Amino acid sequence: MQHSVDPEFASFVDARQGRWFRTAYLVYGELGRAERALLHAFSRLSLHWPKVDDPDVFVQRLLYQPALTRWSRLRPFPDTENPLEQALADLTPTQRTVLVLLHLEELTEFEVADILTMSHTAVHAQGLSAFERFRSAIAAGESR
Amino acid sequence: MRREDIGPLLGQVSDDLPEVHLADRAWTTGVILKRRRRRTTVVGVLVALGIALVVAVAFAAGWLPVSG
Repeated sequence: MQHSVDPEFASFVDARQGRWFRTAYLVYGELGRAERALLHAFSRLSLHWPKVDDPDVFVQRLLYQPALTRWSRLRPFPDTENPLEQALADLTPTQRTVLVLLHLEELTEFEVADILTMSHTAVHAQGLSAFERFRSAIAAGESR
Repeated sequence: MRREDIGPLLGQVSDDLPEVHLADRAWTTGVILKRRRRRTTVVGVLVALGIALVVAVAFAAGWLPVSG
């Protein structure tokens, strides 16, 4: 592994870091955690570069799967007054991740299932419940 | 609210984030991780060889009983 950054790796990261930082921010609900998760995923990719079959899926798995843990006590979007962020914070980690991947990243349910190692049925159900909960939270915020 | 409205709403929340530049940092972290892994492997092999040597010396010197 060379000491200076591989140009192809740099262009791969440069082309995706902005978009994935945004989605990671929405999933984790905090800038620091989003940046650490993304840096961790890219660092792991650099260890196997360029031998990984599908680097996009490789990074996205490392980026989003840790967000699904039930053991994290960190609340997303702490102290926010933005109604959209509050609505996202009310979702479970899985619902938030699925919602963001389906609607912001515009991945298909099959692609989300592959990244999160869940069944297609589970992704579909989580997507529906996330949508309903997000919509109700936004409506409740507007009526206040 | 329709499904098509969610993407733009999520986009609003994440529109004004600062830019990140991770390529160099990720590569450097990868180099450090690789070096650390290699060092751990070398130390593991040396420890295993050391234990094997001590056991061999112990048998040769008759400190350990040889069965059969």
